[in-house]
Amino acid sequence: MAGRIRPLLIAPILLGLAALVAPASAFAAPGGTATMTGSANATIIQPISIVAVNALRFGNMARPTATGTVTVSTTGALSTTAGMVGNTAIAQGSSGPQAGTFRVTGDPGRQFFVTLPTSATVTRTGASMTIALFTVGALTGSPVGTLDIAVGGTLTVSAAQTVGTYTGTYQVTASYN
Amino acid sequence: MKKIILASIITLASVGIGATPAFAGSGNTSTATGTATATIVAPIVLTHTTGASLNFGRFTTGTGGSVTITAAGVGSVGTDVTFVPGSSTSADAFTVAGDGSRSFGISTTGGNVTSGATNLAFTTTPSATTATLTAGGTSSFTVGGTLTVSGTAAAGSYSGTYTATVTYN
Repeated sequence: MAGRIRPLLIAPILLGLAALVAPASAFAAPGGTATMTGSANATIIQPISIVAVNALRFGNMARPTATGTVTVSTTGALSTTAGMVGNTAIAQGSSGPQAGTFRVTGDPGRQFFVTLPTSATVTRTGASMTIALFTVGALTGSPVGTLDIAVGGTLTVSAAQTVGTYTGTYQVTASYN
Repeated sequence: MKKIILASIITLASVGIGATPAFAGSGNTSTATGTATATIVAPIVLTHTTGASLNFGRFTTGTGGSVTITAAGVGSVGTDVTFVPGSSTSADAFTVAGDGSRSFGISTTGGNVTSGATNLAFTTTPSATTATLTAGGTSSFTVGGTLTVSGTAAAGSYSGTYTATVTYN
């Protein structure tokens, strides 16, 4: 896409040239005609796009007897600390742990950066939990067509955590430099 | 002249971009909303039924042998061991509470019963090694076992403990 003019935009540009050149020529000295050739360049690049592909899932876990954490890595691997040790070793059904993923699409070779919030909150009626979000590698780069970004998180679960399913959202933004 | 033309072109180009819905926003930035989920389930809780115990009954050792109690509490003896009249036996009992309809595993250890300096070893067998909590999140199981009796065991009342563990599958 770089360096090419979209066909749709050629027509307006040409019209603009014609509209301006024509009135200007009215001021040319009488008895003569002067022609100047201007050059015009426009480069339309593919807009950057980021879309959410997979939800960040922590799966099912038993409520602990002491506060602990559950971490889902950017590859979807599960680890636990403190009171949560062993509490995730239960049947997960069809919604087991997985990393969150996003796909960035943009102009090949163009530098961009991604901003990820440091935390997210998941809630259910009357209760909430906090997730510390992280990813791997630099959140900048030059996509060759597309680039996939994986997001992991560390969930903190307290001994008094209300039983139930918690959900939440977080915003990830991709921008050209 | 050249400058004026360039300025006009830029203006027109901008109008063209603005009028195209696909390019809404600057095109320099895009934001996506990710979703996060987690499900907390009720912890599994094992409770020993008050007053219940794995009771091997009253018996004579003879030259030794064994006493077996089924998970239903029915006693039987092996080799030279004999129940005395009036002996009663029982299986142990536990209740389980947790996440409704969730499957769990049951494991029990063996142990020793002791009287004075004499130890007699026993093994245990739960009524099931896996079970599923009801929709309301309750369940129960019983535990039987086999006691090995030596022919030299002194008369007396022997007691001991063992451990039962339940784990979500």
